[in-house]
Amino acid sequence: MSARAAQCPNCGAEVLFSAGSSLVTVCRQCRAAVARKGVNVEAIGIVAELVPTSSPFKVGMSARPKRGTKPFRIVGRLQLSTGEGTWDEWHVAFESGAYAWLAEAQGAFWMMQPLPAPPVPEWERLDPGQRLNLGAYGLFTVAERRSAAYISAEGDLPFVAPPGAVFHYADISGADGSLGTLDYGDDPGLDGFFVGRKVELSDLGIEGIEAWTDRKAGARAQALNCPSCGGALSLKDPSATVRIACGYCGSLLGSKEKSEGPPSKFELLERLSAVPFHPSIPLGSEGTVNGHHYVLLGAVLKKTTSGGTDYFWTEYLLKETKSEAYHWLAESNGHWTLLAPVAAGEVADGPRYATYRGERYRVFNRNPAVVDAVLGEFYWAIRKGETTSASDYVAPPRMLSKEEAKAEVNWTEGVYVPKADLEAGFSLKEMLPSPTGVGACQPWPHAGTAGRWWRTAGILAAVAVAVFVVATLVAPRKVVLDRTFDLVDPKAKVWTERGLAASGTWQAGKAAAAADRVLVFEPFETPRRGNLRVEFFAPTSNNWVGAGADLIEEATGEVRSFYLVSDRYSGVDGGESWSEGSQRRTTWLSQVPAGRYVLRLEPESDSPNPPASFRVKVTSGVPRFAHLVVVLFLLVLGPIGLLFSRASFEGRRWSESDFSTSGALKESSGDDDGDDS
Amino acid sequence: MRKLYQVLGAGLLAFFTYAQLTGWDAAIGTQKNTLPAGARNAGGWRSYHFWSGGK
Repeated sequence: MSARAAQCPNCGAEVLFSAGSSLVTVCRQCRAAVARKGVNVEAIGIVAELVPTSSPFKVGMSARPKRGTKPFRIVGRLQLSTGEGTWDEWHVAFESGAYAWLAEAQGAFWMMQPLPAPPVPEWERLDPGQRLNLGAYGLFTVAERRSAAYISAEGDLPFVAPPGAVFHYADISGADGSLGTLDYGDDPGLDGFFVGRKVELSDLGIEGIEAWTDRKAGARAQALNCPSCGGALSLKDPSATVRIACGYCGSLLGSKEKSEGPPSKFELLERLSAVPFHPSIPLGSEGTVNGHHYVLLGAVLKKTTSGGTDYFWTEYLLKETKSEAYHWLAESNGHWTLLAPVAAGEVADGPRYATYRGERYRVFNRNPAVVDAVLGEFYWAIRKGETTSASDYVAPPRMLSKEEAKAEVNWTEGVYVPKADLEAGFSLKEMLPSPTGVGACQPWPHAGTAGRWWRTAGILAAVAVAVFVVATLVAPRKVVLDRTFDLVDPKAKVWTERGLAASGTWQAGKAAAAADRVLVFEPFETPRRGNLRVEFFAPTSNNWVGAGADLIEEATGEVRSFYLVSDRYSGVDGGESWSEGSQRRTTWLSQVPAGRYVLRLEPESDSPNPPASFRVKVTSGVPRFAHLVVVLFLLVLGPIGLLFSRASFEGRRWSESDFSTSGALKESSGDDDGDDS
Repeated sequence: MRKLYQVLGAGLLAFFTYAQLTGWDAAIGTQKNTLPAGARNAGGWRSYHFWSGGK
């Protein structure tokens, strides 16, 4: 079928079926819905007046999209209402004769194409959150299951149904980000199946489209006075607002008629004498956060009860002025998270984790969320006491949030926003309250620099090792003294240099040596300024030998005094062997200048059986490995300190959660400890 | 904070290099003294009386 003119059976005026897909057209004269049946036309009802909505589209607009979609014309408008909200779906006709629906859902615009229907469960058997495998179409999640009434229309429609008919439908969200609609009409079986992709308003290339800011200026109720307190209310989103909570007295305004969209006149629904809470960011504020320009429309104080205690947080409704999407700014204990809607089909969730676009989020809280108070303007009929089931999953700095109601499930995903960004972005005169504790998705302050800390430590450690290697290679390590002494008189505790006793030299001077137990060596030379390692070894076994030592520089007379000892004890006590002490001890002398030195020892031991010998070895210019170990240890202290800082930070974060970091419910919170499906 | 760590780390590395090249050590348990001028004659410090008796 193609474009065709006919006479309205109701009033006689000319009606035009402007596209091949047009099965019904609405008479402009009398608002009769005229259906064509073969060569005849028939009036199937009278449509009601259109409800003003915030949609940017108009019948008659032409589009030349930049990419992805062929040129089309908007030939009709279907207006639907669930009783809680009214919205438009736009019938677009392509030059090929094909048609699609241009719809608004989840804060975005979607181009929905009709496709052959796959086998699906009956409408009554669908539940929000349910997974559907639609074969070649892929995996989908039921995001919404509702009934909507066809309340009005304009132009041409691609189906025949009397005005006022009620349609059952389910919106399904694809794992690839697509959106589908299962149209069940007014019976259990599927009448139509539509799948579409998100389209950007700016990419559609629609001529004559008005920006949101221009449309709101033309809306009917842009400014009004509160019927309760008389306060002047200036609406920021008048073309979509269905509920207002007065910012001066808190009274709730809206329409008493259930199925209307944005009312032409706001009536008093609930009178309050004072605002129930004070938003930290003033209602109506405009600002830029994370590169997006927002208008703050309303604030919702929510609460959950746990263990008899109420916990409160605030959610601010934002309108992103370019995309016209509704976003949320959630505040809890001074911590802020900016959240935007995401397709339910793109999220896979279980008891412990949720996955979105490859990122795994850990469950943080799962509680009923109750609307405790509202302020500002809202695009749905919000009411106090409205309850949803809320689940928060975190992967700092990101958060994934799920809200489940009877007929729908909504996911939002967002990022932690420092309060300073909001203060600057909204040009706030009063600073926001300082955050307390650690926020659910607050990033650890050093998350961005921890890697650089380790990299810095690695570079410094590598340099330290290189310095040690170079020092080892170039250091003039030289043994300058190495002598062994034998015990020649155990009673008098006299040791003499090995070889002297055997040669008889000691025997010759025995009397003098017994009286003078001091051992003085021939001078030795150190080649350059450096350290001296003095090693002292004796085969001690449950005895000890020590020696007072003096290193004397011949030229200056400078003396370095130290003590050398070898002691080794062992035994069995209570059936367990033990040992202590050491046969070998080392003493380090610092920065000994080049020169001639004399070492003087005065050995001693009060053991009845002193060791039979001891050895003294002096080495010059020895690289100190222990120094390298100390340096490496000190260098990793910084990054290790960061690890402790992170552990402490995460501990404080999860102390606010009902779940452990593994996703298990804490014992104090209940018994649920399920596994992910 | 990281800047401070870099500065302290670089300082530590500089001192480590100095210690390795000059033989610096904490030298715990050693004492420095200088012999009286009278003891600096040849062999003076070899005298047992200088170190123990004869004081």
